[in-house]
Amino acid sequence: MSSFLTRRSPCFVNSLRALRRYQSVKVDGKLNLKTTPTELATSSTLPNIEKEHLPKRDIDPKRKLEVNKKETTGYVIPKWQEALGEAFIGVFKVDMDKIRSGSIGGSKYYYMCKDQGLQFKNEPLSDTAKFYYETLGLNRSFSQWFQITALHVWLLFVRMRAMPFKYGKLYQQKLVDRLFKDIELRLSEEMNVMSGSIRDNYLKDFDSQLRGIVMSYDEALISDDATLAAALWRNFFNGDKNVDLVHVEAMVRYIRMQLYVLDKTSDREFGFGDFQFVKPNEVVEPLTKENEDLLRKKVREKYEPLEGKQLPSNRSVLSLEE
Amino acid sequence: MATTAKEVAKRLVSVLESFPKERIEHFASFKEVQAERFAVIAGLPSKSKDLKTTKSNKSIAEIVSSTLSNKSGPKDTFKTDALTSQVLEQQLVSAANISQNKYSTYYPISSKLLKPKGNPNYYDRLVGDLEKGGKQKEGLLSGMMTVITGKY
Repeated sequence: MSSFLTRRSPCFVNSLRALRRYQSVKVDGKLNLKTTPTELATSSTLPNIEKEHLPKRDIDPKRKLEVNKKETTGYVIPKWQEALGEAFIGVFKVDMDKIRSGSIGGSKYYYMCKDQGLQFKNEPLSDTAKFYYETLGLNRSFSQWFQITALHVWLLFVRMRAMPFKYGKLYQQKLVDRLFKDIELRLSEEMNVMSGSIRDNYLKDFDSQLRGIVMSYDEALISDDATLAAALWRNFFNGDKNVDLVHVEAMVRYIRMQLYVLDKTSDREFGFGDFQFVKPNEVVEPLTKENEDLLRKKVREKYEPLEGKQLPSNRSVLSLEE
Repeated sequence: MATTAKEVAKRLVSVLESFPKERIEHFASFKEVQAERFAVIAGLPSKSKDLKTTKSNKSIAEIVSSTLSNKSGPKDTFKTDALTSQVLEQQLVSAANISQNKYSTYYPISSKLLKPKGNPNYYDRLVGDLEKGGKQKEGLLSGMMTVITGKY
């Protein structure tokens, strides 16, 4: 039971991640399709042009939100709680796929999205945040963080839609609920917006932004790269007139890479939280038929081993094949 | 050097103009704004006068800032100083890669995502609605079905 309660439990991630991305290697940026988004973006010789019309309000919190210890890496649930939980699930035949939507969709996946562009004033940036704020030169502000987070939330939405309706909807619901709960808390705790009505107005604004973002990126998903570039420019790049097209291309590449990995992830892996975003300094090479067969075999071995008993908390009806 | 930059900018404008037309009208059009930005260097006539409204030429940030303050603040103008022929060449390659769908071809996605089993008609309906300009109202029956089933 401990495995589904921790948001970044290493056992979820490491095994399949290694296989899925065993071809993901950093390579020298000569052939365009072999370069990472970071390398592609840094190859541009256009200097960063100041965005005069965008607010330059770095996030300088008096108090930072704390992460619940049950959601931190390496949290292990006490043995007696685990045993009690397993017994409860076994006796009452609890639908674990529904339960998992909260701990995975609403916690693990949310933090994955949130941490991508998270930054605070006078604090070192994470690897992914460096890509957004230093390589792409985006403004360090709360609304830019929202744009980065919303982009990753949308990527997960695309995959969640492809799950069985009953579960996919629940995963989406938990993720979006958590997003807005967190925005509200960040506004009051970290951004010092003390007035409830002002916070509500911000939330309404972010809600309509999210709807627009999901609609635009969804349209781009089934259209073409040019539509995706336009959607990115309008949202992610804040409609910057002097945008660097190489940066836009790097983001198009980044998103297509993520979608490819999401497409190759089965419902079971995704539902169990066995997915991580490809980092901007990594590159994904398309899998061959043999690679895919090997991947499916390993997934089956991991989730439905022929020998050994499966714990009640690991039961699932989600597909292993697609 | 200047003539080279001009030539590259001309090619860049033609690539940008080959981008598909946006299905619905947004505050600002990527294709139009960027084509105009490089048309300045290419010495091509600005098309902004031909457009029905001037709002599509403004950046989103510009619209927001002009809405927030009634004062007409500094104009967010195109900054062309740094756009040398070498820079423009890179911009051209990127625009061409985007217009040739290089990445969606290299990273193909299957019908698993495009016809999601949880909501198979989602993308068809979305595009259908956008094709109609996003303004047509849904019929009563299909509207009720959307509400009851929760599927778009």
